[in-house]
Amino acid sequence: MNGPLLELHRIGKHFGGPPVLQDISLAIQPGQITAIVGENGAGKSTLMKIIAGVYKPNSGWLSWKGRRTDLSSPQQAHELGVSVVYQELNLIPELTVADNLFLAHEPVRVRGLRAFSPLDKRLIKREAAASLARIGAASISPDQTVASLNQANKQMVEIAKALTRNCQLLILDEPTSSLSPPEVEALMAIMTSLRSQGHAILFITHRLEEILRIADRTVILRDGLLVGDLSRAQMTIETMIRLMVGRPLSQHFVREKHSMGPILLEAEHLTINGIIQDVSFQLRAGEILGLAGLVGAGRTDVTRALFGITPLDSGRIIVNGHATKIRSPRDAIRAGLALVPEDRKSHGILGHMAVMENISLPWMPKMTRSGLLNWTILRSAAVDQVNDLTIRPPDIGKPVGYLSGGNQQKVVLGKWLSDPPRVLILDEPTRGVDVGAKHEIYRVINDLAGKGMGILLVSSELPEILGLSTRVLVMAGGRVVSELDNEGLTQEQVISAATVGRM
Amino acid sequence: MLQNGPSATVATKNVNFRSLLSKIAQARSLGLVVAIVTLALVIGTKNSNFWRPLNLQVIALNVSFFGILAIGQTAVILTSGIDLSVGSMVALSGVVVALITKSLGYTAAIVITLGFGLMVGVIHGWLITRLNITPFIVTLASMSVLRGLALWSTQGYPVVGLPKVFSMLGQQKLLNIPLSALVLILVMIFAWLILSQTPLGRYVYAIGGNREAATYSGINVRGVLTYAYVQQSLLAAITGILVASWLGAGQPGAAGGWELNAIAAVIIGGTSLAGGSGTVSGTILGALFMAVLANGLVLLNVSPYLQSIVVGAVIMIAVIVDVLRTRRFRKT
Repeated sequence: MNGPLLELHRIGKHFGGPPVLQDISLAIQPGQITAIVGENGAGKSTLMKIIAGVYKPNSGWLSWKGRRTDLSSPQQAHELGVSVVYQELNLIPELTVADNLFLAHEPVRVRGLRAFSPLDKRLIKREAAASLARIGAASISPDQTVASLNQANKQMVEIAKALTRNCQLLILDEPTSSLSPPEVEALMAIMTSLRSQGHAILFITHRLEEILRIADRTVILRDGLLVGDLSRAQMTIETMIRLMVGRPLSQHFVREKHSMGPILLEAEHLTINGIIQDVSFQLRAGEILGLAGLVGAGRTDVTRALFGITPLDSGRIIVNGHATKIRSPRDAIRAGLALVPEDRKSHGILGHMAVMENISLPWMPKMTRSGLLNWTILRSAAVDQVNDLTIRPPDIGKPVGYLSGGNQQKVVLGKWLSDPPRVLILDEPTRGVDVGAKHEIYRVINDLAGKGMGILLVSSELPEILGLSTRVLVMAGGRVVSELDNEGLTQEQVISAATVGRM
Repeated sequence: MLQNGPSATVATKNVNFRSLLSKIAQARSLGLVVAIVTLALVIGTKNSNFWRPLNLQVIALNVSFFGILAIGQTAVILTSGIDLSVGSMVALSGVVVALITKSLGYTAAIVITLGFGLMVGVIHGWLITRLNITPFIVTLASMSVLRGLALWSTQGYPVVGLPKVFSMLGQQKLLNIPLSALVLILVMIFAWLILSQTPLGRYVYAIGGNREAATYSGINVRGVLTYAYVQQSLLAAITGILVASWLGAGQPGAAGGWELNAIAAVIIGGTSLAGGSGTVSGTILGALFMAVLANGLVLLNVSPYLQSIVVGAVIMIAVIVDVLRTRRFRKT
């Protein structure tokens, strides 16, 4: 076939706020592996979901084999021949491999009455075995339940499932992030063989070395814009990184120099099997320690371990010079730690409760008079935080669920600042927060460090990390791969540590 | 009427009724009051016996029994749990208090029965928080076990021959108000104080609203959940003692299906089955509504078969209102 399989014409997408994708034009050729890279939040997933028919673009259009098409549902995308293997696999663990492969398009004996017709079990099994063999996964039996397979084999089943649907464009979303090196090799072999059969593959990844090995072309997204389209000959790790981060440090955060005090928190060889490995660091009073890395590098897991949510398999946490057993958030709070979690909605706020109660939640037992809550104290504690953090609207009776993202985040911060902790752990403190609130949060972080609090700052936004932190730890694959002094540190250095795993 | 907890308190003082949620909650309580009054007036005009002191006392007795249970159930449902064992617990407590009264006298019997209620609650709490078994399963099993214990220990016969002074207790009146109604009022005041004015109570709401966020805030989630089940079993034991004393016997078959009546009162009273929102005052209104409705259906000679349909329909309407209300909250 000549000409591109799928073309995107000036695609734009927003979710009510700032644009997530702008003016993306791209032509995808059959028999090619196209890699898509970009920092966290660059718009890769949104782009993928538009191609898969999950989202409708707000502007621009798509054409399939030269004909304009409206992809209005994932079903329609399937029918055209687009299949996605998501990071979170979409298999039903209790069903067999064969049943999963033909889910929702089972061959039946009686046509017209699909839902009630007996299944053609023999045909299903034969076809399942054939499609598994096609991708070199004949070792998987069609009769096995999916639950009995390991991660790599589940992924094989997902790919085979795409092929049973006559897929021509296969989208793989970070397929190697959960695979061991030999499994990655096997996957690459499958990708190569599908390419030679004329399939187009879109391949989203953070691992730049893999791209160099297998991709015919690399498309780079940054802040929702397509900023680079490199042919095989143009691809080098340096170029890719430069294009990925190329954002100027326009939002300027001035880090104030604070005098640093004694060591407040030491992590020694923190290990949670299979999740984080041997993570060690020290945090001083007045210091802002940045924790950088890609999504899935284990940063959030470190915060959860420190705060007693995920139990450690080995390692020690030393607070103020004393080895401290932290088995629950209660222990952590007692030791003087506080955590502003990554997922504000699920872990941070109580949406139906008033601002006042959210702020007082951890301290209520101390805010009583003869056993009953002393509302005067609760109210004044809340008013203090509302004023200090400029929470809008300044209404302590309002359920937090009604506030904007930035103000919700300030409530979560205020909850801890009513009784200031020694160490404040911030996990993506400005995610989903508008620019104004962002700067106010930066100001608060700076002030707190100035007052001698130790701050551990996890962020995917490099300008934020570079703007605020004294030192930067870079994590990859559950380990700390670099510890960098933030003196003349560049985004490129951090990104290459996070993606290549060495400096 | 009692206030709707601090969020409503604040709303009235600082927000001037701007908070949508408390507005709806208040509209709901008001609606219930109107419904109860209307119902009473309608029944009263159709059958003047409704307003006779004896009938009102019957209603008060019913409200007390279901009300005490429903107050306990309110805290449980606020944590987004459920306790199905309360009916069986009432029967077993009645049997236990009657059996022990015969040998040790009623003071010891009451103390031991309350201790027993406490123990059942602790076991529920342990199974639910330590072994992470869902409350529905735990209390379904114990509903069966407790009822079985009541029947087995008495071979199905009521425990009779209790000293007069014990049954006097249940028929005791103060200013024509039955003792159980006084107990209900005490329970109500305590439950309201705890739920809306203490850290423990606010943690009950917090856990039901967002258990994860409550954990992340350092709340002892296991302890609070255990409290919810302990107070429920304890209140069921109190109800069991009151019922036994009122009947003058420990009836192993008593209180069949009362757990469902209690749950219905909680739901009609506006507590969300999803947890996190609801009030004690709403629950009391719910229990009152149910009791007046049941009484009215009898006085108006409605066929018992039809009665059951009416009660079911009322519960369904209450749930539909609850669903619409939560949906509206999510949209905003």
